[in-house]
Amino acid sequence: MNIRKLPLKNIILQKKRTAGLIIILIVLTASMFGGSIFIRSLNNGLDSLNQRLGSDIILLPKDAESEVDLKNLLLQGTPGYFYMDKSILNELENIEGIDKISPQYFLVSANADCCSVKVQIIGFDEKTDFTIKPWLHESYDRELSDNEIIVGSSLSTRVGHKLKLYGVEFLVVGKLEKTGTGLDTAVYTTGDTVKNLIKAAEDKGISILSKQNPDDVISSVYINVKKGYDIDNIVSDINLGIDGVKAVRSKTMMTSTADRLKTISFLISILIVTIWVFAALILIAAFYMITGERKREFAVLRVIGYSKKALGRLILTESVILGAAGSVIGIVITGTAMYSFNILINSKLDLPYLVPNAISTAVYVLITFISVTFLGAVSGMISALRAVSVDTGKILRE
Amino acid sequence: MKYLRSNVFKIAELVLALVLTIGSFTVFAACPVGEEHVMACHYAQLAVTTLGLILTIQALAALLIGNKKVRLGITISQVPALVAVFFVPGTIFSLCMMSSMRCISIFKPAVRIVDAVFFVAVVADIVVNVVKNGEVKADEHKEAAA
Repeated sequence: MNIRKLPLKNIILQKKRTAGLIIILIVLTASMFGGSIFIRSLNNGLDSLNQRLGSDIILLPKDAESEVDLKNLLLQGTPGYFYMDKSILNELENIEGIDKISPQYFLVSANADCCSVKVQIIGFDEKTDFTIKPWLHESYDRELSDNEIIVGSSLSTRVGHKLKLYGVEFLVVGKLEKTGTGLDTAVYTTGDTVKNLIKAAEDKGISILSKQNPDDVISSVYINVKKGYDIDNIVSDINLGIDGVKAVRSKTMMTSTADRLKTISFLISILIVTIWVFAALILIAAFYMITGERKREFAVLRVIGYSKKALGRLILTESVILGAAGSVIGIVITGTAMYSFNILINSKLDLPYLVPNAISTAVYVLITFISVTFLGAVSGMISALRAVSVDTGKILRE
Repeated sequence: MKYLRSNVFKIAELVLALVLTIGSFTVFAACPVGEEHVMACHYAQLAVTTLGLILTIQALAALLIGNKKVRLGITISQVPALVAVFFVPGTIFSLCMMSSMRCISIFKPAVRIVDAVFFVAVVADIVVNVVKNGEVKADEHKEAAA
């Protein structure tokens, strides 16, 4: 038998021992890889949401429910609608320090032809928009015509295809980039198309959760502040100067979400470290005990001419092979589960969740593989030290 | 024990076929059928259940039949069905529009994962069988030559 194949033969022939060690290594890998991807996805989601809001201030109707509705829309994708008078836009123009203003109109479709769930429809003003079109996956230069729509990334339709809502076909002319938030499931269009939608729903006798005309009302206003002006001062000016509205800083609105996310990330990190410490101790103990049980095998190898160095190398090679195999299996299982079911995880979390891109994932794969294989090697090294210190003659006499 | 060991792939295939068939209308079923509206994904679910049922019958037959060549033939015939199952949700049959819906978030990934594991088991079974048959034939040739 080729002596170089001995570590591999040992691993293959000792099935139960190998399976036990591989299971420990898979748990280690799953906790590290899965936990890291999960924390990264939450952070990506929050970063994406902060960028996606794209404005310094958001203006909403003053009632308490509107802010909750907007948060639910952003975090859970729960469609919502609330309205304030459109004349507010004229009042905003009188406030000093405001650079850009863009209103939006929220509409919730009842069960549409496409989906058995409600769809959030957001009407926006193309001339003033600075929060939606910059997020188009492919640039769309011209203005939206009647019955043309832009869709969020989670709607499985393509640019050029048609989406049927209330029996009327709407042409998809753009698709937004993925944000990991509720905005991914929304449909974006102009005020005129929103009016067509309301009419189509009425013609079909379908109840639509708002009949207010987009010419008269708006749901929210996105505001950017001129450079050199303090955002908090502008927020105060709006809240004091305009009745029936509530201005909030975009960042402030997401503070509670960021805090929740920090707590979750912290708890998961503790869990990863705890699993790692315990699994590492179990792994080292397992290798150590196995070495004890294999004393006679090592003594025989020494008798047939194996040097102490060669014996140490044999154990180390075995542990490295096991570490590499365990980490690869663990990465494949965890990666498949986390990436295949990422939409499900997102919907159950009620938090923005955006899985890392291919390059970041590759980095995590590499770090996990090296760490787990290294831990396997360290465990093997400790066992190897024990194996080489054994008195061959004494063992064979026992 | 010896029976289990020699039929480990066949048993795994039968279990996976049952998981695919039963799971497709229970644990990882597509979107529920409404009173007024039948979603497109419902037909994808029906197709997966039907193909799953065929795969279950094939796996059961391969387990019960004694002739090795027939068993291998049945296992090979499972490959096209498995390829078809993989492409049923989302490619052959369209699913719902919104990715947050059950058919895209649960049905499609679950079907594809079970199908991929099943495919690996079937390919491994075929390879092991072909290698074993090759070894047996080589031994027979050696004996004949001797």
